[in-house]
Amino acid sequence: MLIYTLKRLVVALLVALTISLISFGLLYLSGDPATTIAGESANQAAIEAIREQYGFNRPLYEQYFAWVGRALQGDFGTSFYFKVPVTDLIFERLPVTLGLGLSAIAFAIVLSIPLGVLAARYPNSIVDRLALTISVMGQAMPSFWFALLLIMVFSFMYPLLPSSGSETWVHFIMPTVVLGYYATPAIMRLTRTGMLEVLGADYIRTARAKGLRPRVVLFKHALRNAIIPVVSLSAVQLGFMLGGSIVVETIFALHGTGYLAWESIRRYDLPTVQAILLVFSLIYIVLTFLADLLNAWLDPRIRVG
Amino acid sequence: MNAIPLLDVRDLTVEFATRRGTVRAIERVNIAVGKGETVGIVGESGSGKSVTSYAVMRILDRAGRIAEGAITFGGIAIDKAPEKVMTELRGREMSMVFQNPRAALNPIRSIGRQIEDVLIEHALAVRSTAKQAAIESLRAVKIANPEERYHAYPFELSGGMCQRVVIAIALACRPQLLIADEPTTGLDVTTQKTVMDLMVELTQARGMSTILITHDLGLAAAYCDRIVVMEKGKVVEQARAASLFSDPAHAYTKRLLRATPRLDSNVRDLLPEPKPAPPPMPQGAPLLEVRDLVKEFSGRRGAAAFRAVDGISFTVHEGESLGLVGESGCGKSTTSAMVMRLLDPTSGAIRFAGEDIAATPAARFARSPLRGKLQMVFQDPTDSLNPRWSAFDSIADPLFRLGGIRRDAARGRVEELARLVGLPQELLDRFPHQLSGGQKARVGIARAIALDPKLLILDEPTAALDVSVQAVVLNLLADLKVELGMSYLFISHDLNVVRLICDRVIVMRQGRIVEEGQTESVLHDPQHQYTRTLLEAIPHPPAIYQGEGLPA
Repeated sequence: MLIYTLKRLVVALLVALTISLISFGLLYLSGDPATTIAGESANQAAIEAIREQYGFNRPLYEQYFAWVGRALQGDFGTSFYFKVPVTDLIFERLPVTLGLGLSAIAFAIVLSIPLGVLAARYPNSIVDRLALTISVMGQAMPSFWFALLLIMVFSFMYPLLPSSGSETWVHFIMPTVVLGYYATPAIMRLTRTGMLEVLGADYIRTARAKGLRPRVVLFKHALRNAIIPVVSLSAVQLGFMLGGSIVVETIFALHGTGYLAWESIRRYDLPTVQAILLVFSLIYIVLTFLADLLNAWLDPRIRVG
Repeated sequence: MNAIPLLDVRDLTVEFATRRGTVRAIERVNIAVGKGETVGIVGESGSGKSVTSYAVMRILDRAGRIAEGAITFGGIAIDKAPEKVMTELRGREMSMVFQNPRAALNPIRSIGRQIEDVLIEHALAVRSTAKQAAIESLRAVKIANPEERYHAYPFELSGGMCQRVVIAIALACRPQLLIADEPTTGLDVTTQKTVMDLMVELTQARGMSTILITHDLGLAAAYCDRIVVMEKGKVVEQARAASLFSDPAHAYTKRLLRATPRLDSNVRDLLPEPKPAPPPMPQGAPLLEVRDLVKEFSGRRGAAAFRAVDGISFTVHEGESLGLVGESGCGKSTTSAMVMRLLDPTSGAIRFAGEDIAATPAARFARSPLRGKLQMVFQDPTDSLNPRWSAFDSIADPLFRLGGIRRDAARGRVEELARLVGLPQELLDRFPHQLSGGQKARVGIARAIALDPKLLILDEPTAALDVSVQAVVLNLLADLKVELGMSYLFISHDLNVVRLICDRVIVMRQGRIVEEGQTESVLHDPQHQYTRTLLEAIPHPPAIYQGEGLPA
């Protein structure tokens, strides 16, 4: 288990290194950063001054190490647009995004795993059909449309929930449902397929022949086996929801990092984009790493493999 | 047998609801098992022997149901008992041992836990005492170091070990009835013997009744008091083991007995109707010469490299069949993969038709002109056919790739090949799932002989087939060899089958050849202790069906 953990850790660090290179390279992807910052009307002297000020005239590797060194200490530079430290910008908005992402994945898991298990336990039954309907709708319906639908019903027709803002937990209910519902079909289908496969396995027959109660067979023997791929998928989905909640954040006027990223891209606010890319990639890497560890704990074959 | 049997199955009919309506899996089956008795249920695939046992345990699939009849076990009406009573009976009073032991164990629970499950469920242990009880159960099935093994997972154990664990689970609560469903199919003969002996020892010591479900008449004969023969969902005959063999009453039983290879039978004896023996083939020059062949697999994380094949040499002459025999892990499959040029040897030479084919890397051999002359028939006829290709596509593929035959010209050749292997023309457009096991085996053989190979490697070609189908396929192979002038390298763990096909035999163990010689002399007068052990482990039908003067 220790060797496995160390191996995964090394892989995670290598991925983090690659990501940091890509984030850094972003600065040069859109041409000369000094010209971009100076703006269209700036003269050559102003551009030179900016180049000197930001250190763009130094060798690339030096710039990279300086940037990584600062980033490791939590300093991502100053936003071109807001003129405040990027770190402050991100940390101000991160709680909104993290809160939304976590509650959305929790919503998705609580909805989809029991449904998936029930659907597999009673295939082709009413429950199975219901689960299938929910999943098809989730796949077919664009989240912005679902969000607008919810706002229409629960904010205008029956004013129960606020349609925008992030002040209280009540504000998060609709965004959570919209974002969580987005992840539901995949998780539910994987649970259902996995359970169906496992329930047909020889060792489930053994468990029944041992005289174990149906509940024990279903949860202790079947679900634990079927859940293994679901863990990885959920981690990926969570990472995706953290980075990709822009639409939901925009509609519900939640000022989270997704929204900030989108704005910053439009404004060529490169230090902010770099920092967001790096932070979310790192969160993603940590999530995957945790999912790997959880799977290894669940499945002894992974531990040695 | 006692007046009141422990288990009494009366007129049992089980139906399965399928998309095409209701299917009767078994019909009016009557079986009684007395206290302490061992009853064998014998039959080929589809005979309903497993369904019968699942009905007794009431663990049929959702689609299956007991339509008619009654099952009484120790005075309890199983067919009418509520599910709650059944969960109490299963594992406690009646338990089951399955085929494919590794799959029968939960892959992510330690074996100790899986034994504890059953003990705790039936209140024979509580959390604090369970571990000790589980270790005791492991000790009872003679697993060495039970304290350590308690923590092991199924994937860390051999097949034979896993089956011991399954037996430990089945016997942990000291039930009255044990149902063993093909408990040793897929295990090596020597492992089969130890597992069966262990099971018999434990069940006899505890006065248990046993039902042994098997397709192997020899196994049933060696271990059962009484045998029930099933065919297509019906019991066709039941008799005491000895009289069944000496005096089979039903035509199906006779056919089954005939088709089971024995020490004195030749390949034609297996067929229901007599047929003249294939003419002997003159043996020519060496066709395949293997010299000092070695295959090393590098060890994991600094562990020593593992030599799967450890310097073996042998020759196959033109027109000869050579048998390569050994148990799992002996290196016979690695050897065949290297000869087939699917795997590169670590060192050594493979001369085929005068050329050292080991010099061509396996990856490039696919384009060698010799590829078509060296072909293979694989073990599992189902797994070795592409499920999305029709029989025609599978047979024609080598013609397109290696034979340089265009698509429109292939039809005639494929039909000729189908005729050679006895596959009806109208089946050529079917897909593997629409074919029977025997028909799929024929497709695999037709594909292998499509390019007129000189040497055919046969890797356990009949291991997955019923005995009656095996009989037909073995005869087909014997005929094709003469007709097409091929040589065979026949890989098998089954000495009885090797006998029927091979002129010479090589016995392998741990990557080395331990004995080599003419088949008859090796089997009748084995020189090496290991060969003797292998031969002794094969269960045989009672003496009356054995030849005379053979070693017991």
